[in-house]
Amino acid sequence: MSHSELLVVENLSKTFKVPGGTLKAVQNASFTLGPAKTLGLVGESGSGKSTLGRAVLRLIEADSGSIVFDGVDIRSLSTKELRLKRKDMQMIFQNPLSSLNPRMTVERNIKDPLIIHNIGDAKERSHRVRELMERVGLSENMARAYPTELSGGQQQRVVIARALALNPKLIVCDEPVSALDVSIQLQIISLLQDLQREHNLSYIFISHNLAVVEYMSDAVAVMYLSEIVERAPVDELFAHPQHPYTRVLMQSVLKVPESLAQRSTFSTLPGEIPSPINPPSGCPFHPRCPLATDICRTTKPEEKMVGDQHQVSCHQAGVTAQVI
Amino acid sequence: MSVVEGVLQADLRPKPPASRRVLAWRRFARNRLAVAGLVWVGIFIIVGIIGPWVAPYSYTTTDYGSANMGPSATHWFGTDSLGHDMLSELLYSIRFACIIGFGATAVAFVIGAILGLLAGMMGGIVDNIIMRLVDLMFAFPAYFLNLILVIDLGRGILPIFISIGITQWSGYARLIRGLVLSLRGGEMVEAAISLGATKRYIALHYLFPNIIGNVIVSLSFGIPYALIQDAGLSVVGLGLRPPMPSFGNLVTTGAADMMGYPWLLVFPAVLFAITLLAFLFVGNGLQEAFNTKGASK
Amino acid sequence: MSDILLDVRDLTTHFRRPDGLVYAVNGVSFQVRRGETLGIVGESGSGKSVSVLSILGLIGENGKVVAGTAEFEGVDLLKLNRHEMRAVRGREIGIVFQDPMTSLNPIKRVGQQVMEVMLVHRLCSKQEAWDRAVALLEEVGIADPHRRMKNYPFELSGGMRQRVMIAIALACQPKLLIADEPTTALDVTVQMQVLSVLREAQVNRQMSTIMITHDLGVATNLCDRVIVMYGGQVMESAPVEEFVRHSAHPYSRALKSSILEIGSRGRKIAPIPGNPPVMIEPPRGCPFADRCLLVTDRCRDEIPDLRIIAQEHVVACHRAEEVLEHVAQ
Repeated sequence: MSHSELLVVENLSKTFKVPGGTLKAVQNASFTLGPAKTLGLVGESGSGKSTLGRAVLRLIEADSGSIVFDGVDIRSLSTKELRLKRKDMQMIFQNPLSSLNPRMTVERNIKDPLIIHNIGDAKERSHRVRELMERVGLSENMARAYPTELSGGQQQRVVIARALALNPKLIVCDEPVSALDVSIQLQIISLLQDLQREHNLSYIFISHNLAVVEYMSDAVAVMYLSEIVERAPVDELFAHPQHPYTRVLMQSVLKVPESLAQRSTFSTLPGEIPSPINPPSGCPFHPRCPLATDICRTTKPEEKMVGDQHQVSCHQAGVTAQVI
Repeated sequence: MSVVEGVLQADLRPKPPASRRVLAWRRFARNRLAVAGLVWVGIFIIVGIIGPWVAPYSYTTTDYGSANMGPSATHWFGTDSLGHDMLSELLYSIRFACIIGFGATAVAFVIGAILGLLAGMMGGIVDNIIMRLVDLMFAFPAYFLNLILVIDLGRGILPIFISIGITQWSGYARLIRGLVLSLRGGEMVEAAISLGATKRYIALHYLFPNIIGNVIVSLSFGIPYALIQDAGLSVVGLGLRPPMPSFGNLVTTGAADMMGYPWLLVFPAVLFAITLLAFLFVGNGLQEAFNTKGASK
Repeated sequence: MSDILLDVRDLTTHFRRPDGLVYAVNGVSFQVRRGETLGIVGESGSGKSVSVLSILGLIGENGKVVAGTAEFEGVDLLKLNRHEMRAVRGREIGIVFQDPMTSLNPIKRVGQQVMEVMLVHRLCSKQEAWDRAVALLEEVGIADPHRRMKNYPFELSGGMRQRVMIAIALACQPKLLIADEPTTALDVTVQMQVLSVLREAQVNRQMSTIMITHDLGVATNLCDRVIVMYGGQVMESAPVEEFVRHSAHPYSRALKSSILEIGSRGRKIAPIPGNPPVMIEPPRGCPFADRCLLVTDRCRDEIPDLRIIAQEHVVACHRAEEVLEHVAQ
């Protein structure tokens, strides 16, 4: 375990009890994240990416595995110690409006973490809020507005300001731009990048959009049905994607064609992500995988190294067939 | 239509502060019935406070010489068979109705809020026990339980509002538990936890302010309901012990003499009916103003 | 028979809110030809959905069409009464909404729901409707349609439900299919499946389609012609090939460069500044003026007319020629 890492997650698993069985939301997830770096977590709904992000912050208690953040074993902290540690790790949500308190003004919402952790006096807090608002691009006259009176992009800026208030080292961003308009998405992405540079922030950036993840991340972990199926530094992953699912995701990003001939054929995988309550035998991806063979149906693939820091869980890794 | 809501939400931009409350008041004020109801309720409460001082007679004063008289200059609303002055009886009724209506609702709300918050925040076995208790309360006829309690506790003003309160709490408990649950699993509370807030802080600054609107609406429907319960007790002779007047007592005795002395029924019945409607209109108005759904009982 | 199936002219729609009017659609005109797929692209609040739902009377009681005409095969839809409109909706014009869970009846089997629309419009007997429904489910790519007919919506996945919605919309062989953000709520791989179903249905049935979407990628890959809307007005309209090569409106160009594609890493991004307009006042000038890099005083004072700048290519911008010149260099 390297000391240069800010966050080391090993074999993290989480199972929910649901009517009709148990739901394995995250299975044996491992990754590391360095200071001022971004890990992209990409996958479709039900892949467990949000659960993993929340489990790292202990907003959901994992069943097993370890989370070492900033040299501290997060899972062994008492409730009180954890509360104090939260200053260093914050979260940004997909739907900004539902994560803000609608009965508090913008100013009060941003000030809330300072009040909770009893930082500064009234004057210092107000000053800090102004500073944060200016930094995230909110004009001063919005301080006394309520969240519902702002546009989606402005609401997300409030959430970002609130997360920044405590000077965290890590921010988990759960689909932070998915609910926003295209033109606003880019504003928020560029703001997050600037803040990362200024404050040496580390991000776990969760998204279903591979293009956004590529743009933001230093390393990417692809999740399918509660498992990380491929993980690599971003350039390596996009240059040499090994898992068939990763390749399919890459082709699912629609780009504006330059001519009619370049239009997408919309060819893709059959079927949909299966229920994590009854996952398929062997490799979870085999029912949809065009390369599946007998071994895929019976045996779960081990994680193997296929390049520098490039891990993949696939029997067919290295088979350079056209997937779809 | 979600598409249209999307359009409307996106179009919002910061406006001068406090617009929320102003907007809520505007929505309320647009509902004329609600405003009229509010005026009536206001008068009702004021009369409830000052009534006994302005009443020309005490409710115990009997004057057999002037029994069963129609409305006149000395007795504006007439007198009953014992010579009680109806105006005074009504003024005292309003006073007692205020105490019982607000008192019973307060008792019900305190029990309901505590149990509802506990159930919602703790979950698990505590939640289970409290909710089974709520089920029991719903299954058991409230009126019947009320009778038993009144027989047990007595027919004074305090025992009556306590016993009505005891039969009414389950609705509040269920409402508050539901509201807490709907918020507890949501992103807002998750965000508060991730900021490092304690449970107490979350309950105080996140849960409470966000459910209070629904609760107020529900309370405004609870008050007339308590008054009806009280009147129901009077019908079977288990309301406030005479000679203490109440709308229930007056209507019940008035109904007996309806053919000969109609004013004995008309004045209390009309007053009572208008009061109940006024509370309901206010409740409806609040419901619209706060934009809540399903908070009424 | 005219080549134009739907001809919308100067459509203006307002919404009433407690604190005033919302000018959602301001003088929008567009045509849908027979057999073509028209993409209407815009962000939230651009009026893209409202402008289409207005002409079908689907904007709720707070919305009101204050001006305009919408001729569908020569009949002005805006003049129809409720009864006549019901005969058109579902029969002549099929609609697919974003969220299939709220559009499907949760307590009815999906087969029944597909059959119902045919029976309501008295197209065929019950037995025939069953057979047609099975064929429709098969057409939209639902495996084992006989069994699926008996499923309830909650037993289906999101993608399947959206396929059922498409089957319902296609059931009466409409001349026009309106799809309002049909893939937005779906996973990326499922989005591709549904888009491919829509494309096939459109090709096989020779019907017209209006695809309302916020995703320029979806519109340009699926549609024959693209309309870009902003602030309740049409900014640009062009055949897709012309559009991707020579879009002449600054907003269209900004929108295009806002899309991150794989390989964008390291590219310098230039977000469009500002926020979408608030439509609480009647438009005065170009709605994009506040966010436009090429803005002049004229843009703020004078609403630019839609001008033809190439064949079938219209644009509402005072400086469209300069935009094109700039790109050519």
